[in-house]
Formats: sequence, C-alpha cells, structure tokens
Amino acid sequence: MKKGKKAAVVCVTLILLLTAHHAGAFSNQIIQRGAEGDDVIELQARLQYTGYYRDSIDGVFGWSTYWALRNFQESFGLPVDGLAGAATKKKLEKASKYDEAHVKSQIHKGRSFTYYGGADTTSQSVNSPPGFSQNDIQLMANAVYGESRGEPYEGQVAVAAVILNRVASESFPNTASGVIFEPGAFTAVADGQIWLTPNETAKKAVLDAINGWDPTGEALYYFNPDTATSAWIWSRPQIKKIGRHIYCE
Amino acid sequence: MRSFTIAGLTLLLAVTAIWGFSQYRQKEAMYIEAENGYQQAFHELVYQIDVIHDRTGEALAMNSKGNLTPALTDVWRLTSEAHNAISRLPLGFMPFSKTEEFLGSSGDFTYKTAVRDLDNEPLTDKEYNQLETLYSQAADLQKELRSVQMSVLDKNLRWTDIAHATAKGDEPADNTVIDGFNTIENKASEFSEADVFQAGQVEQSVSDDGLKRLKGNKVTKAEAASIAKDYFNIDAEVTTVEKNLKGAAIPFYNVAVIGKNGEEASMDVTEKGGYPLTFNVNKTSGKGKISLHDASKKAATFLEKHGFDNMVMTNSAQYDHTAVFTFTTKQDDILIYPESVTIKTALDNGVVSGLEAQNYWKNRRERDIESPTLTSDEAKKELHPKLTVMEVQKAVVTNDVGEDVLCYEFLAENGTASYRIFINAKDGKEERIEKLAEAEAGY
Repeated sequence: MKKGKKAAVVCVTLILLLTAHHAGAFSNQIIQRGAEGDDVIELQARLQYTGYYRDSIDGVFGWSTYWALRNFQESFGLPVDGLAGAATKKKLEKASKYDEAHVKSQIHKGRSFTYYGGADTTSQSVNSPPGFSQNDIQLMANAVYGESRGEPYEGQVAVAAVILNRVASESFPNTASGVIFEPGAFTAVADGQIWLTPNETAKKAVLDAINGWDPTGEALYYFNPDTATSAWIWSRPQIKKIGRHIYCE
Repeated sequence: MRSFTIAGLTLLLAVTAIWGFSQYRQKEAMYIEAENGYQQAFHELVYQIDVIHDRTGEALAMNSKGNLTPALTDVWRLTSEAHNAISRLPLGFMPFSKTEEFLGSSGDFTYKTAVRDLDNEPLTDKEYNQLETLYSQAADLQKELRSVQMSVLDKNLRWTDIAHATAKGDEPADNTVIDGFNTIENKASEFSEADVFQAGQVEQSVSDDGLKRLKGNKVTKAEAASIAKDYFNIDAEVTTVEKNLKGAAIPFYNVAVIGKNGEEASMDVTEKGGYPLTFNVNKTSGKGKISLHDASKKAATFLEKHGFDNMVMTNSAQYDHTAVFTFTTKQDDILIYPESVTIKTALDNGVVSGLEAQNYWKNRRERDIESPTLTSDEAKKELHPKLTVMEVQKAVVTNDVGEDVLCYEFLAENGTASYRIFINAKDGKEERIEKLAEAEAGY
C-alpha cells in the first residue's frame, strides 16, 4: 500500500514535470499586474508574438501588458481576469513561440531589437511609485542617509515622510529637490553630508515613505532636542519621538 | 650655512603666504557667489510682490473679462515664483511659513478664477472682495519688503552673514533683515486668521475626526506591546513602548522591537481600542520564492484576520523581493478609495512586513451612498472619444474640495498610455484624471 502510494506520487510528479517541461519555461506562479522577472519577460514576449502586446519587453507587468493579456484572454475564450494562471499560460504557449536565450541576451545587452511584431526590448525596467523617478528616490535616499543614518529604521522612514509632507504642504516648495535644498532646512545639506553614498536601508526607507508609510503622523518638522538652538522649534506641537528626533507639526 | 637656512625659511614663508592668499581669494569668490544667489532671490521676491500688487490693482479696475483672465493668470504665476524665491533664501533660522501659506492660497484663488469662463460665470461679490483684500495685503507685504530691501542696499547687509550668525545661535550684527521678515510674517499670520480665501483653499490632509471616533477600551502599555507583537509575526523582544507627545491627533503607543534575527520593527497602536495605525518591519528579504499573486492572498488573509472587513486589492507592485499592495473597502459593488490601506509582504517567506492604515481610520465611517443618477453608458459619453474603455466600476473618491463623491471609474487607453478617469455619477463632471504610470527603464 505504502509502496503503491509512493509509486503514484512519483508517477504524478513525473507527469507534472514532463508536462511542465513540455509546456515551456513559465514557472508555476500565477502572474499578476505589478510583477517583475523572467516570467513577465516570457509573458510579454509571447503576447508580442501573438500580436496582442505592442510595447517593449521590459520585464515589468505594467498596464499595457495587462490590457494585452486581457485582450488575449477575451479572444481565446478564457475568463478575462488579467491574471496569467495555468489555463492562460497553456493557451499562450500553444499560440506562440519563445526563444528564451535570444530574448534574454538582447535584454541583457540593453539593445533595441525586433523580436516579433516589430516591437523592441529595453534593458530590464523596474517598478517605481507613480510620480517619482528612480532619480528622485536616489536624491531622497541621499538626504535621508545624510540626516539620519544612525537612527532606527522607523526614524529613517520618518525623515523621508517629513520631506514628502513638506512637498504636499503649501508652506514649502512643491518638489522633493526644492524641499531638500531649501537653504537651512536640513543640516545634512548645509554641511555636505548629503553627498555621502546612501546604503540600501536609506533607499528602502524612502520607498516605504513614498508608498504611503508615515510614522510621524503628518509631521512637517523634526529636531534633535539635545542640539536644537532655535526657540521657535520648541513651540511647535510635538507628535512623537523616534530615536533621537522629536517630530512636530 | 645659516644664511641658507634663512633663505630657505624665507622662501617657505613666501610660498605659504602666496598659498594662503590664493586660498583666501578662492574662499571669497565662493562666498560672493553664494551671496549673489541669495541677493538675486531676495530682489526677485521684492519685485514679484511689487508686480502682484500692481496686477491685482489693475484687475480690480478692469471691466472687460478678456483682460481679467490674463491679469489673474499673471498673479497666479507670480505667486508661484515668489514662493520659489522664498525657498531659495536662507530663512531656515526663522519661521516664514505664514507668508508662504499666504502666497499659496492667493495662488489657489487666482488660479480658480483665472481658469473659469468669466463670461458665463463672472466674479461674485465675494470674490471681488477677496481680490480687494489680496490687493491690500500685497501692499502691506510690498511696503515691508521694500523697507528691508532699502536697508539691505543701504547698509550693504549680506545674507551669508545673517545666515551664519543665526546658525551659530548669535544675534547678527544688524537685525534689520530679521526684524523686517518677522514683521512680514506677523502680518501674514493676521491675513490667515482673517481666512479670506478659506472657501477656495484645498485641504491638504483629511481631518483627524475619524481617529477621534474610534471606539474601545483603553489599552495599557503591556497590552499595546502584545498587540504589536501579534502584528509583527516575528519572534521578537520588545525594546521600548513610548507614549505619543502632546501634539498628536489622538493618544497612541509607539512599540519598538528587535527580532531574533536582528530585524527592527515598530508600530503605533491607538490607546483607545488598540487599533493599528502603522507598522513597519525592517527586514532584508531574501530571494523571492513566492509569487506576487500568492503574496497578495497572504496580505488579504492578514487583513481579514485583523478585522479589516470587505477589502479588495486595488493595486500591486513588486520592488525587488518585496510586494506592496493597496487594499480598498468595497461596499456592495462600490470601491471606497478614501478607505484604503497599504500593506507590504516579503516575497521570500510571504510574511506581512508592514501596514499603513492611518488614512483608513481617518476616513472610515458608515456610508449611506445614494444610487447614481447616470448609468455607466451615460457617464462614458463624458470621456474623450479617442479613449478605449477597458474596465468600469463604481467608486467613491475625494474630490478637489474635499468631498467624497460617487463616481464611475473608467480604466481606459488610447494606444500609447493608460488612464484612470473618475466621472461623477450624479452630474457627469470629470472629477479626476490620472495617467497611469508605466515601469521606468533601468539605466
């Protein structure tokens, strides 16, 4: 009985492996909008082959990939959910060819090339939050690292959140760079520490803040109570202390 | 031998003197360069306030609407430039936010009146009064700024000196500039107390009322710590539990922990009811093992388990090995966008590593939503004819005057870009339009 069970399992696994192999390179994951990686590259390449996807193959499941997938699902009589699940992937594999090595090498070289259907690849893209470029994130990471590299992680997210709260406020400039470089606003800018190379933690903190995390409760100012010289800053309503900084309205 | 030494030392001294002098010259040059930047910003500011004053004065006397719109547009542009000039001045040592607020709200007012079709909808009496107030307030600012400008020019005051002196905590040698700006700031606070532009002002953040309505028993420090640990999902040692400071919207505890593997995590828990406001675990996620889709399911289960009912995923994105999702309340078939949370999941083990729910609690309430006046097909007629609609659903969004309105949400594309458009379900007004971001190419 036990042996039989084992044999059955092996058998099923083999069949699964074989079909998986036969089916192509897609992994077993259900691919949804926002995903990055090899499966997305394959998805885009196959959708391009079938003529549904006209943008460049960049490895990020964005809106144009999403519409292409939905249109494909609709024409092939699949449930239109914008998710690349098992059934969709199978249909796609039947309807298209995918030369993985070729596509990847072109992406790797960052070279524009025509794959199928006349569209290009670009070097692999990355998700960035709406309204912020990779360079904005880098600049903010510089400011966060210069201002708060010795602080707990929450304190680093907090500094990034204060920058963003200022951008949103009428009393401050309307861009991240404007807020950061306002004379006298940040000590790290005044003493040049902003030009230190930020670490990954600072970047993560910035990304969290841009994605909505605000551990400060909408603070516009913060100061170190041990070194603050301005009497005015003490008059602001204080919300919370994180690490060495007090955050206030 | 001795004369050699003397000659050598003299030479050394001369070289040092020359080097020192050139250093001094270079420093002076940098100093003047910085000073010139400040001077430029300051004199521009004075000029712009001058023109704002003149242009509002002209607008008041204008009879033809054809001239009024350009005049108001000009004021709007100048308020933004003046704001910009202020942000380039070294005023970090003193509060100047009321003046900036004044510029911001006058900008909003002139923008709103300038973009309106004044033939169909002329200035109301109230707006005319607002314009008059703007005119007299600009006059006040102009007068003060001019007197500061006069003394700056007269006494040859340097912004760099003022900034350095105050940064060190000293009183600058000449207080004219600081006094002048303080007077301006006081004047501007009087303006904002008068609330002339309140009607047109955009609320920057939602009110805290929702937070104050939260119900439940008061939790103790120890309870707050155990609530936080339950959310963190890591084996952790509580390092600190701190109360909020006095200026916070509502009382809360800030719980900080360090996990067994060195992960830092922190969370704000409300004192009343022990609700989660925000939490974040700083964890380095290893290589992604689970898919974005599976991660979204884990996030959904997590929210359900912690009492966030009827929420559906409205956005998802992968950043390296971390997934970030937005979940939104769905009431019947209507998405309530103001009631959204952001949630983070590690893609190596699928554990939820962060939640931001402050806006959710602020906006959370029982909603009695009227049924729409328009059908979705009628609303669709309001869209640009070149757009292809891909998806449509009903949704509540906050519009630009801070009201929650029922809309039809259209996801559409025009061949090159995708858009999200909200059409008011009552009157067909285009409440909001967003161009949906595509991924950014790596460089």
